[in-house]
Amino acid sequence: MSKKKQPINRLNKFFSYDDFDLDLSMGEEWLHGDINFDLVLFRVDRSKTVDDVYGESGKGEIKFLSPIEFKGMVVIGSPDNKTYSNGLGRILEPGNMTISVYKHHLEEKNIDITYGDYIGYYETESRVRYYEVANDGKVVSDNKHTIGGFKSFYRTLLCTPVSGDQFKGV
Amino acid sequence: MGLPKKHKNDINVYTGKELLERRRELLEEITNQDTNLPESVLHEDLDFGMLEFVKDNLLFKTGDGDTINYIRRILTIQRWSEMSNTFPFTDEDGNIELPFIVVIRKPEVPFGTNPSLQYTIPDRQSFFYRRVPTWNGNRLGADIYKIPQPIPVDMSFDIVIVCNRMRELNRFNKKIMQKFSSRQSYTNVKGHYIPLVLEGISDQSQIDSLEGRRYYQQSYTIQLQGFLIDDEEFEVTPAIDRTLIMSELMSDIKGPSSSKIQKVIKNNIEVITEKFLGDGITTTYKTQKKVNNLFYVELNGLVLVLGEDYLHNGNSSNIIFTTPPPLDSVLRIVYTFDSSLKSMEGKFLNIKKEVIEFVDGQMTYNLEHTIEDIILLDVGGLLQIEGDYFTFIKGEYGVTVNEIPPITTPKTKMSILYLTQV
Repeated sequence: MSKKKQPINRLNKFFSYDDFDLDLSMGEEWLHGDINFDLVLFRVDRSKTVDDVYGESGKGEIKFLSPIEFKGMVVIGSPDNKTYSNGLGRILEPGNMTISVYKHHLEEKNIDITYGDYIGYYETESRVRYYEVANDGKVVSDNKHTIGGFKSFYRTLLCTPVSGDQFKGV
Repeated sequence: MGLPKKHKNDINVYTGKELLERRRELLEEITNQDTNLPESVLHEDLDFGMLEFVKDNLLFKTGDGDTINYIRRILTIQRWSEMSNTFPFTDEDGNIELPFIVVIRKPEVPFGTNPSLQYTIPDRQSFFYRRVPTWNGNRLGADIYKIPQPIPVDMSFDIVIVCNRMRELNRFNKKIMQKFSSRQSYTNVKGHYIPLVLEGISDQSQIDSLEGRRYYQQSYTIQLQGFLIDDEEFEVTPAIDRTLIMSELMSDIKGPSSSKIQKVIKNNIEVITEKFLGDGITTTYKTQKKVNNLFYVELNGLVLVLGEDYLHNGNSSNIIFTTPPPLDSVLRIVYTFDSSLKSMEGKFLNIKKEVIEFVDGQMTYNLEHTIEDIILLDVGGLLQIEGDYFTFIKGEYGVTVNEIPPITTPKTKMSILYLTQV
């Protein structure tokens, strides 16, 4: 792939890079300054987590990179009350978590969130619920993720809750 | 080169007891309790046996080194029960922590398929189980314990494993396969070995849900071929502790009557008269000798009719009466043992019987053959005595009677049994 960069000239009569940066900075100011939803990313160190046959690891065997805080817009679904087997073995399954995060913010933090990473979300001061990234939202070609079709500026992550034996934090 | 010193000449493959001793051991396990009867085996006992089987045989260490979580109760529809039984391994949300194993019993319990117990004793009848000695302070007795046939039942269980790792599935599967390598395994319920049959494996894993929580879930369906024993159906009845034996000895064959025998020689022929006393019961009277020629049978002076009043087969010594002669009645059987009848002169004799109707005013009646001797003369069944009622002359035809009975209708008849020359 060519390293050459091609400037975006779409909407150039009434929208420019400066406008884009302005909107982005205003949005970040609102999200990071006013809303301020803190999340903790636990990235799996894939080079150190090795399983020859199944590619799965036991409890405490997964190696993580250093946890990193980041901010995003968080929406959590309602829990699902269900059972494992024909009405027996009840489980109150937490709803999925949808995170909207600015790409600029991830670039600033120099992190990438990928499929399978874990994200901790403080529900209370002492209670963290962990989620697994089921959709890392790297494909942002749709209009929704752009400003008027000019350029994409955020990602939407879909995360599912994980059970304690899978991940309980580092 | 010598043999190695440390070697075994015999390998004891089976270290337990065998054959009769093993059977006694099993019986001891079943009855090893306060009473001499087996304990009840009901649905909850079989359920508990299944839980114990899983606990003892199917649990394994997870990758963390901990034993897999096991819900030690049968889950029912009561929610509080499920909550309390899963309490030791739930997370902050109250959800069961993975991995875990749970036993789920299918509510329906059909009649059993174990062929050794099916339809062998009908109608819940009890059968003898054991005789137990009793002592009431004075007398040694016994109680008979009876129990009905156990009812076979098939109970289906799903042993469900829910986990997040393939390795845990593998470990559990290995346990199951090792235990059921011979199709069936056994659990011990109150001393009874109950067969368990692996019926199938099904998978309900949530692995196709991309945007939901994913986990493995597999069910192993196991059929428990048990039976029900209910102690409320047991019967304890006292056995016989004293016996009073009353015997009444009766014989339906009477005789021989040696003290009553009377022998008369008539024309070189020994005519035997045997006298019996009737007892009202006996129908068959046995003479001392074989009866070759039965002359007559008389009951209290009345001559009986062969074929009607009594039966006699030729050459037999048994006289069989159709009805037993009355009590204390006098029975006379007149017969000869001789098979060939000969006169003093060595001439062969025949026995003839004639029945003559009385004629008014006629005192002498001629017979068809000459008379050598008269054995029996009766009038209307009443035995008459020679010289007293009738006379005859040897070698002639006539019989002279002293008195003629009143002429009646039908006419009174005289029956004469006599010997004549051939």
